[in-house]
Amino acid sequence: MSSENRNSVWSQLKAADIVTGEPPSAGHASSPWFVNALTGFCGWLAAVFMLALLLAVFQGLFRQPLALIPLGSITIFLAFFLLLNQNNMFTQNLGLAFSMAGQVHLIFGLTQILPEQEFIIGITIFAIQLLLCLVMPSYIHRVISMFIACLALYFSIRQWPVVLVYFGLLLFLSALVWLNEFKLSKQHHRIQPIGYGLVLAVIILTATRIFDNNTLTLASTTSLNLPPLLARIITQLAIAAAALYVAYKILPRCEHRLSGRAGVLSFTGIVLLCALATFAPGVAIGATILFIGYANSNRILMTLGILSLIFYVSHYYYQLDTTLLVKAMTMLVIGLALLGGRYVISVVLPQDKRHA
Amino acid sequence: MRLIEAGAIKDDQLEHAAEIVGVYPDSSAWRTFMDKTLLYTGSAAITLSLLFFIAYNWANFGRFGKFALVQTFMIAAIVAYVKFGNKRTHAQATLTAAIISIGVLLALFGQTYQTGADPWQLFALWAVLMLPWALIANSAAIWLIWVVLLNITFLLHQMVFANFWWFGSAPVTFTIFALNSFALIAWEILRKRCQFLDRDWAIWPLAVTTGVAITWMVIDAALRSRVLATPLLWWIGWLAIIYPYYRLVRKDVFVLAVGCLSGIVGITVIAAKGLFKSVDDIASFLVLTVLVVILGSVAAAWLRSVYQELNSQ
Repeated sequence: MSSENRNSVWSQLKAADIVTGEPPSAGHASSPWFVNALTGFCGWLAAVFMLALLLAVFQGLFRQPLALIPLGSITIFLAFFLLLNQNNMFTQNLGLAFSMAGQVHLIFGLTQILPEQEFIIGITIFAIQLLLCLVMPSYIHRVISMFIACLALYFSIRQWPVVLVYFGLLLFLSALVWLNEFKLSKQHHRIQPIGYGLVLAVIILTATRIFDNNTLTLASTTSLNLPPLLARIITQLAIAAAALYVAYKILPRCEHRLSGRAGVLSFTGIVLLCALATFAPGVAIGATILFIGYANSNRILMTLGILSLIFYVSHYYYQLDTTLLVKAMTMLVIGLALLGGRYVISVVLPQDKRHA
Repeated sequence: MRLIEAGAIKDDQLEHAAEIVGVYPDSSAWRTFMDKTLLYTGSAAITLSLLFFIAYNWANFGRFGKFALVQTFMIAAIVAYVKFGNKRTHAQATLTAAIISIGVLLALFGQTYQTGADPWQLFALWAVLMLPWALIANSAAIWLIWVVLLNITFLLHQMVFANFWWFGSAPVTFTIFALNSFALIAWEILRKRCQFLDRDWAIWPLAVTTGVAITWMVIDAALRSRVLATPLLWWIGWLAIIYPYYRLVRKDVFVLAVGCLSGIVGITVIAAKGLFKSVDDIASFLVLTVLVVILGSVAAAWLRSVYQELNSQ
């Protein structure tokens, strides 16, 4: 934001009696997302070399889980102190490398002493990552920890029926975090990275799931004896519930009553779109992320939503469970429904009568 | 965000502040957003349904019927473009649909008459045939589609003639690098004259593609013990142009970050190659760890300072 824009925002807020006095000095600008991504990548690369270094120095260490756990814990502890200095990029990079290397030690040690059960291992990693996400004083670390926590929880429950609603749950949590982003200013530095971690997890996991069609089949046949169609419907219902929550939060912001014309139109549109997109996994998720992004003027979220939509629709072409004729008909119905929805909005909610 | 971080606004006033400064779009903004989104996604879905239908190659639907369907769709899209030409959103959506339908028509032609043409010829012809529409569209997105088609054409051409897959071959990587560098330079020159091309988001994919291609050439040469001098010279040349131009002339921190990342990866790979040849593994890994941390820190600190400088102007 330029100084001109900053002053304009300050004047607007002052006129509304939200702030008083002079604007605070520009101070340190928070890093843009691509600088954070670069720092995260360098931290990861340095951690790989650090791990290789430790492996080369302490040969045989990875066969001693009781030594790995304290070593990993100490390394993460050191990382915490390095990350405390948030304005020093050297300590930030070094702290990330220390933490990632420490986590590999700790998790590898734990997997060796824990019983060979996916659930316990996954839940342990989930708990560690959740703790690190809350405690570690680094924006990038929080994004990565939240992302890995979601992946670990998925790993631990992936053969259970509950996995069917997991994507909807992640989407709902993303919406919950982002649509309440501005409610707690003191926690803003924690809320934002948690939100990004959740959104990245739901996008990546959905992409992984559509490449691995066995996951849903496994859950439906071995645990619930549900036919694949029913499993898909349950998954889509959870996603639809999350999308409806988004509309429920956004409508009052625009001074629309939930039971008014805009409310009824929004809820009907969401249910219809989710029903039509049942066989095109990810489409409803990508669209919901796009809307969450627009609701907060967050271009990163909007871009993630658009890119994931493009990816999921492209993948739909190659999906083997239905013929291209069925897919063509599905896309035609979705397209007509979207254009029809646009027409209905223009008739029911013309610009001058939109506050119904 | 900075006001929130500075604690200048009370918690109970934050949502109200977000409404006032426009972080929360108002009803009218939502209405416009929904209008555009439903138009773009709706027309894209219908165009894709046409593509899926032709790809299905339904025997019961005769040759004549298929050609009539695609051509009617194309004509309808063009008629809609002419009718709604004064509305930018409508014009872009209909023209994009028409452009995609050219590809569908060419695919149908190949499918029906079994011309024996290679896939790269389809994409090359598609790029040529859409060119007049791209010229009249005045749209950065449509020009970006044109560049993507050229990239696919060259990749598929090399798949046929160079027997490669993806970035496994230096000539292919160089072709992609050269093509996208040319597109990037042309775009930078033309954006001053054509306002519709003056979009940073359109430049970024080109910068990323050139960065990935040239960095991969360096990595490929270093790891496969090929001659490193040529890709190294191109890489240094690319960095020598990127840094001053996007620091002093255009001032784009994203492209600078692409250059920094390329620099970090390239230097690390070259250093690793030299280290593992001359010293033992422990020393190599130690030096590489420190090197990556230092390079990453310097790059991030510099990018942050440039970003802050641009924001304070």
